[in-house]
Amino acid sequence: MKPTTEQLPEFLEEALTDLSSSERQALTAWLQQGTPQAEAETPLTRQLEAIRETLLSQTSVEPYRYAPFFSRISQLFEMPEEQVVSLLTEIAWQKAPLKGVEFVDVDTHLSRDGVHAGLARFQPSVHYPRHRHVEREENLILAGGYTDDAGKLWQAGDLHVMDAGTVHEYWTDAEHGCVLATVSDSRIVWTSPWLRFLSVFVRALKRA
Amino acid sequence: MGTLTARQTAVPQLGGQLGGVGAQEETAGNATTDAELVRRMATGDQLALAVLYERHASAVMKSVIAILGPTAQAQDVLQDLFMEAWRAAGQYDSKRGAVVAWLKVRARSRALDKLRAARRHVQLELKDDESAPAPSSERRAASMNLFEALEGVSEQEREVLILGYCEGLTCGEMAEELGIPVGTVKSRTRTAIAKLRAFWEGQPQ
Repeated sequence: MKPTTEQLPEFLEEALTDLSSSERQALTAWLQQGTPQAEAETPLTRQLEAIRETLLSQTSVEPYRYAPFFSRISQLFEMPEEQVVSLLTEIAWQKAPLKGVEFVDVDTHLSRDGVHAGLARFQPSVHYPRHRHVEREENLILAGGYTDDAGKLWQAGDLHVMDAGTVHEYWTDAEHGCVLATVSDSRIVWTSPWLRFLSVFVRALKRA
Repeated sequence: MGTLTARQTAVPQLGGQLGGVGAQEETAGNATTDAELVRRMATGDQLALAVLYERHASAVMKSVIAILGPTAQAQDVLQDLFMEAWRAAGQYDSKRGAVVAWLKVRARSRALDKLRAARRHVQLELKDDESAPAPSSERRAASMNLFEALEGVSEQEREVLILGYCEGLTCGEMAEELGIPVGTVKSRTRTAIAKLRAFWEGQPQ
C-alpha cells in the first residue's frame, strides 16, 4: 500500500498536514522509502484488452449469452439456476412442424399439473399463424423479438403474458428472429381449419 | 413488422464477434448513463456490457491491483466481476448507489477474498515443506506481508487508503463519497499509515 515514488499522493499530503512537524517528517520519510511490490508482468492496457476479449467471447455464446436471464428463467421454470445454466449449455433444438421454428421441451419443477414448458427459437421474419390460447401462457423473450397483430413489439427482456382466450398472431424480427422461454397451461388452438387438421395429423404421427 | 432497437442483439450463433461489438459500440452512445447501460444489460444487450467495461475496467482494475498487485489473480477478479455484473444486471438498483460504486465495492471484496485464500495457500505450502526454500519466497513473503498489514487496519481505514492511492481522490472528495467529515478521512488515513508503518517496521528485513 506504500507509494513507490517520492511524490506523495495528494490525500496523504492533506492528511499529514495536521501532524506535528516531527511526526510529519517521520511518516513522510517512511512513506517515501517504498516497499517491495510484485513486478508488472503485462502492461495494464494489454491485460484489459485480453480480459475484454474473453468476456465478450464468453457472453456471445450459450449459456452465458443468456446469463442476464438465468434468474428469471429459474423463476419461470421453477428450477434452480444451476439447472438453468445446464439446460442452456447445449440446447437440443428439434424442428417444429412450422418452417423456421425449433423447440425443445423442458422438464420443469412447476408445481401445477398439465403445464407445458420449453424453449423456442424462430428464424427471422417467421409468421406465427393466428391462434387461440385455451389457458394462460407466459413468454420470456431471451433474444430478438416479435410484433403481434396489434402492432405491439415484444423484445428481449420482456415477459409477454397471454391470458386464456387470447387470439393473436405474430411476426418475428426480420434481422434477429426470436428466442424465448415459454410456459403454458395448455396447447394453443390454431384458428385456421387447415392448421388444426395438420396439428391433429402431426400429433397422431408422433404417437405412432 | 417492427424494427428492433439497438438493445436487441442477435439470436445465438453470433460467436465471439469481437470486432463486430467494437464497431457497434458507437450505437450504445457515450451519453448513455451507466444506469441505462446496466438496464440494457439486463435485457441481454452485449453492446452495453462492452461500453460499461470500456468506461470502468481500468479504474476498477487499479483498485484490484492495489490489493493483489499486477497479478493473474487481479485479472481473474476483473473478469469474474464483469461476468457477475452481466449476470446480475437485473438486480441492480440505482437508488442504492452509482454503478461504478457497485462495481468497485464488489471488486475490493473479491480481491480481499483472493488475498485471504492466497495466504491460506501459502501457509499450507509452508506447513507441508518447511525445510525447502521456496523458489519465489521473496514474492510470497511480500504478499503475506501485504495481507498481514492490510489485516491490521480496519475496513474503514483500508477504504480511504484504496480511494486515495488507487483512485486518486483527495480527502475532500473521499469525504463526499463516503458521507463523512474531512477530518474523519484525515484521521483514518493517519491511523492506517501509522499501523502500516508499525507493521513493516516490526518485520525482519
